[in-house]
Amino acid sequence: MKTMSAVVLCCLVAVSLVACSSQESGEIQIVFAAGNDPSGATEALVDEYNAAHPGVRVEFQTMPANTDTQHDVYVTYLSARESDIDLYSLDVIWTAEFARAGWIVALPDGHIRPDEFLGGPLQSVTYEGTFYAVPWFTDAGVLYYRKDLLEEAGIPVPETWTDFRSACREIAEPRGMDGFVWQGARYEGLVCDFLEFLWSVGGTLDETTVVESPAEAERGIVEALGLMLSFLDSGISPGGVLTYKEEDSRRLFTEGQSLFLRNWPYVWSMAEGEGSKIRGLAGIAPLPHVEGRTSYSTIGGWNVALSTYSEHPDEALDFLRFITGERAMKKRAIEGGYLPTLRSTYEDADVLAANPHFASFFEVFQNTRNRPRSPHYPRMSDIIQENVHRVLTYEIEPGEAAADMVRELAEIMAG
Amino acid sequence: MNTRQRARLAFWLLAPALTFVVVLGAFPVLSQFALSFTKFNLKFADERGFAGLSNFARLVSDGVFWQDLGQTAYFTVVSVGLELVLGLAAALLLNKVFRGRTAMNSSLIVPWALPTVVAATMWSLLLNDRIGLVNSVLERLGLMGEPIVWLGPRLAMTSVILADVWKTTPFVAIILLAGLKSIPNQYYEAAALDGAGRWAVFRSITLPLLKPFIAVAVLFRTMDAFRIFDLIWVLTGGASRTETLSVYIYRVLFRYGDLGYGSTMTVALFVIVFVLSLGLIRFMRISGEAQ
Repeated sequence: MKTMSAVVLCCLVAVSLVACSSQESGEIQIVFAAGNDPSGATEALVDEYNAAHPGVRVEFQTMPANTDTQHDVYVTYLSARESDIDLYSLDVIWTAEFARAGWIVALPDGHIRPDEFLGGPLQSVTYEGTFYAVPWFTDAGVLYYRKDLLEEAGIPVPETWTDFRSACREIAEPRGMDGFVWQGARYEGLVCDFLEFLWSVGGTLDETTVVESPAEAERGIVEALGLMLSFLDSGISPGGVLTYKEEDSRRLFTEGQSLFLRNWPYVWSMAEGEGSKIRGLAGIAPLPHVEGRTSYSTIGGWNVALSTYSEHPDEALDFLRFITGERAMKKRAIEGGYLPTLRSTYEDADVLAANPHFASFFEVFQNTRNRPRSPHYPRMSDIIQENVHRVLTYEIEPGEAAADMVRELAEIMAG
Repeated sequence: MNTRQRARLAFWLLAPALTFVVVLGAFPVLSQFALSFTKFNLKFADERGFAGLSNFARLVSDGVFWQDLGQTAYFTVVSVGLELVLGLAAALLLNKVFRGRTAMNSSLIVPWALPTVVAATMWSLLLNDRIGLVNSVLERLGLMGEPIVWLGPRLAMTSVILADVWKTTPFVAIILLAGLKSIPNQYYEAAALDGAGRWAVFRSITLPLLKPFIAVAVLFRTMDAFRIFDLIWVLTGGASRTETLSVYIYRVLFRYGDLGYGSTMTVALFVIVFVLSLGLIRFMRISGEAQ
């Protein structure tokens, strides 16, 4: 029957098309998945490595720019035991989650020399006392301020929230500018900002405090939320802050519409770059704190980890050593402005010549802290985001939010 | 070819399509049902096991689920209602013969043709309180003192609904326009001879004959609106009481990797949409028979 065989033929063609997609070649292929590097430095480094290592071909695979999307894509890949990707660049908050799931492997002894790295990033690659990734580049929340306006008013860079508020009143208010913009939309960035406010009033979300002395944890949260509300109530921060992410707040600052900005180091080159209305007028400082306390910056940044499902772990580890090594860090710092995680790179003359502001960042990086490190982090983050955002939008009282947050976090932490 | 051979051939020709329906339709639905009775988190795969009805018990006592269900229902009712009214008005207008109708027709379809994510990103820029076009127009017209925070706590849901109405009214309009075109002109001529007024013509001719089309538009839009995800994900991320069930399910399934509980909620959403659609179809049939 002719028609019958035609049907069968169609099916065969379809099957063979699917089967054709795999190919053979002599060299070992290592795929390195990471966010895009617009400077091209990473790609140049990969090319350099390939030229020096015949028989191995590293491919740099660019992932979605949005962090949350990247996370969800990785979760899908890894839970399907995808072996095509050998090395993943991971946000600092994912280490515990991926290690607990068994998706990334513990690095062999001696792969990391702990004293070479900055403390915060190093802590972020640690899960249950073992290193699961290598710190690649770092980030930390800093306070940007308008040097010119503060100098004009004869006011020093504020170190306490009290001085900070009066600077806003004296300088920003009469000019009709915003005093302080930050990231208040309900997303991961809000957790970073909130924790910095929390630490600056002496509060904490440490497991021991949350589980064993919830009342103390709640007190800190209530105070931090009160601080955030005071910015909104007094008009120091515009109401729109509750919808702002990094770029929304950055734009107001580089447009010259805000006196202070809390943001990540990337803003520096934009404030100094073309199209900025405040070129040469911005300064960087650690965030303010409550009298008698210290401020800490939330750590951001990325680490690189080896996939459990990699078919060439030895070759992948060799490339991992290269891409997180001194040379790569230096090149990426100079060309891409990525903040190194190796202490020594901050003393490098070429790096400092290309990025004079790194010296001020290095100072900020002395006081950094990580977000909670737990395999349940995404849920914990949502709990923090929701409760904080609902207070800022006057949906619930700070006391209620603090109690809810501590109870829900304690439930997760206690397992 | 005798009947039997023909039947056999028909079966084989249908087989690929049937396979697709089973593999892509029935299989996922059934495996969701199966998963909803398990404890299964992608990140804690070693703790996988049978959970009985515990996921469903959790669903009943999950405040977020019920709150989001309420928000989803509110979003659906208001947005579909507005889209129906505006879509009908647009269709009636377009059905009148006037010059430049082709241009109108094609410009009307643009919002619907845009991918939702693109439209949503565009709206989030338009609605930005400082640099957004909407506020700057209002300010220039002297209608605004303090900048309006469109995506903030008070207006977030309204803004999301407006963006959805902007985007999907064209869909409703085009279905209804097709309906209007299908109404024979004789009815209107007869009515004109009888001296019927415009309102009477609309009420006794246009509306009844348009009913099946309205029902189709409402059915499609309701199913879509109830599952809304992308618009809200981009505009608010679910903040300020705009989170819908799909957004919550996404969080649980992909962010938390909780396949067990996520599937339970998916099953619940499936049942809700299914029952809702059946209800609408039945309503459609009853109103069809009434004529």
